[in-house]
Amino acid sequence: MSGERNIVIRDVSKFYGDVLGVNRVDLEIEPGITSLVGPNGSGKSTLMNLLAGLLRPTRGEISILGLPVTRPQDLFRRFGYCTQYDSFPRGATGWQFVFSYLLLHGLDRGEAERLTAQTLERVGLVDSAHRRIAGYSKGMRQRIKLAQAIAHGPQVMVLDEPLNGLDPMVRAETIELFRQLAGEGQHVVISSHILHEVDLLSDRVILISNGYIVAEGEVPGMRAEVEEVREQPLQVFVRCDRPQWLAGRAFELDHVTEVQLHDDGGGLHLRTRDADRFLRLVAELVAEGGVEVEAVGPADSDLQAVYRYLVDEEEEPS
Amino acid sequence: MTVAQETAARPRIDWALLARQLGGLVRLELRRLLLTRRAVILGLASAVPVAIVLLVGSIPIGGQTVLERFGNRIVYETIFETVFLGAILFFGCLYVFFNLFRGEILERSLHYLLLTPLRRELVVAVKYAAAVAAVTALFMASTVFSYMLIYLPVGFSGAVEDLTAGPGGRHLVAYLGVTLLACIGYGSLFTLVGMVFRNPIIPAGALYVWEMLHFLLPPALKKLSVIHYLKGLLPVPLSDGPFAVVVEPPPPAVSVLGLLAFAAGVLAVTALIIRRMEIRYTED
Repeated sequence: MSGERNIVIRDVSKFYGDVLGVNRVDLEIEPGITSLVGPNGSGKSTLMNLLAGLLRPTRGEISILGLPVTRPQDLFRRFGYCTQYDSFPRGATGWQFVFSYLLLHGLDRGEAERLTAQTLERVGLVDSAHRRIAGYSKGMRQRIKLAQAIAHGPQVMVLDEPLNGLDPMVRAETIELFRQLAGEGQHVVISSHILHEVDLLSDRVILISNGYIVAEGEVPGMRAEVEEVREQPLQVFVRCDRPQWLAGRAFELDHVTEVQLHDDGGGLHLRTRDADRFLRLVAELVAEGGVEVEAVGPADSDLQAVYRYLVDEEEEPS
Repeated sequence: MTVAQETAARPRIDWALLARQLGGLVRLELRRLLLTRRAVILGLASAVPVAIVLLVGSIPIGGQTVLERFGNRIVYETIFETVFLGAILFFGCLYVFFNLFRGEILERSLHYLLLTPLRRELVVAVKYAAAVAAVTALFMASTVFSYMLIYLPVGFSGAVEDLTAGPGGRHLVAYLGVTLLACIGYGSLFTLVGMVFRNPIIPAGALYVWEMLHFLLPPALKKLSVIHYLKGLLPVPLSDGPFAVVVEPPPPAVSVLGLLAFAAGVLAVTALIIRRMEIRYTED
C-alpha cells in the first residue's frame, strides 16, 4: 500500500506530436523534499504538468496518494502546484489572489481569511498583501504563487522552479519553509536547474535530461555522482544596484576566477569554483545593507554545460 | 486510513461544500466581469439603445418626435430588433463569452482554476451561468430603461395605464425574455467559439452574417439560426423586406425550449473540450 502514500508514475510518456516531452518515466516518490533537476527543456515542467493533470500522458498512469489525477475534486484538496507561468488574474492583489482561490476549495470566508493571512505571513508578503500583483517584483511574484499553491495545506506540493528570481535572503527563508513542510511529512517536489542548490536542500534528487530520467536517488549517493561536476567553475549572475562595488568584493575571494559587468550597469556575471560561498557573501552584504540585490542565480549556458557533462557521463555505460 | 480509502469512504457529494465552492467561483467570475474594464465597455454598449430611444422620443422633427409620428411600439420594436438584438446583444455576448475561457488562456491564468477541487464541467457551467447573470442584468436594465422612454409622449400616467391595463406590460416581459434568451443562446455559442478559436474575427463574422441574413435563408436553414427563434418571440411583428423568405414563426414554447436545449447542447460540447484540454499556453 506504499503507493497510496506516495506519488506513483508508471511508465509515463508524453509526446507533443512527434516531439518528446518525457519518455518511459517510472518513479515512486516518497514524502520529503524531492528535487527534479535538469537543464532547460529537459522535461521537468512536462513531468510536473503531468502530475497536476494539466497535461495528459500519451502512455502510462499517474496516481498521487492513491488518487488518479483525473479526479480534480479529490486530488486538488491535497495537491498544490506552483507552475512556471509568471502570470496572474488581471488586477488581483496578493490577498485577493490567495483568498479567491481558497474559496474555491469550499472554505468559509472566515477560514479562508485566516489561511490567507497565515500563508502570506509564511512567505513574507504581509506588507504587500493589498498591492496589485502587477506591481510586484519578480521575487514577490514567485512568493505569491507559492503562497497560492500551499495556502490550502496540501499534502503534496509540486513547485516548478520556486527559487527562481528570489534574492539570497528570501531564498534561504523559502528553503527553510520547504524543510518545515517536508518535516511535517508532506511531499515537496521542486524542480531546478541549479544543481548545487537542490543538492543541499533535498532528501533525494531525480536527474532528467532530454525527457529521460538519467539518475535518481538519495542525496549522499547523488552527491558523490555530481562531486566532480561541482568542481567545475560555475557562472553566476547578480542584478544589483552596485555591481562595480560587488565586483571588487568578489575579486577578494580566491574562488572567483572572472567577473564581467553588464553593459547596462545593473549587474554582473562571474565565474566561481564555490558558488555556495559566493552566495553566502552576497547574503551577508545584503544583510549589512551594502548592496541591494534584485536577482541572483546561475547563468543558464554554463549550467547546461554542467548537465551535458553529467548526462554524457550517465549515458556512457548504455 | 490512506487518502484513497478516506476519499472512498466520504459521501459521494457533499452538497454544502459544493455550494460554497460554486459560490466562490461565481464571486470570482462576477468580479472578473463587473469590476474590470469589460464592465465599462458593456455598460456603454447597453446605454446605446437608451440613448437612441431618448433621441427619437425627445427631439421633434417637423413638430413631432419620431415616436409620435410612427407610433412608439413600432419605433421601439425597430430599435430593439435592429440595434439591440442585431448588434448590441450579439457583440456584447461575443465580447464577454468569447473571453470567458479564451481571456484566461491569453492571460495565462486558466490553470489556477483547473487546479482547484472542482470538476472541469462544473467550472464551465458555473462560469457560463455567472456570465449570463451579469450580462443579462446589464442588458435587461437597458431594455427596461429604453422601454420606459417610449412613454415620453404620454407621460407617467399614460405609461402606468399601458403597462398595467394595456399591452405594454406584456410587451416589456417579451423584450426581457428575448434579452435573456439571446444572452443564453449567443452566450453558449461564443463560449464554445472561444474554446475552439484563438481569434474571434472569422467565426464571429461568419456567424453575424448568418444571423443577419437569416431572413433570406430557406425555411429549413432558418431553423439553424438563433435569431429566428428570438424574432418569433418579439411582440410586434415587423416586415423583413421584399426579399425575405417568409415563414411562420415557431410557437413560443418551441422557441424557448429550443434555445434552452441548444444552449445546453453547446455547453455540453464545451465541457467535453475543457475536460480533455491540456494547458500549453505557448500554443495559444
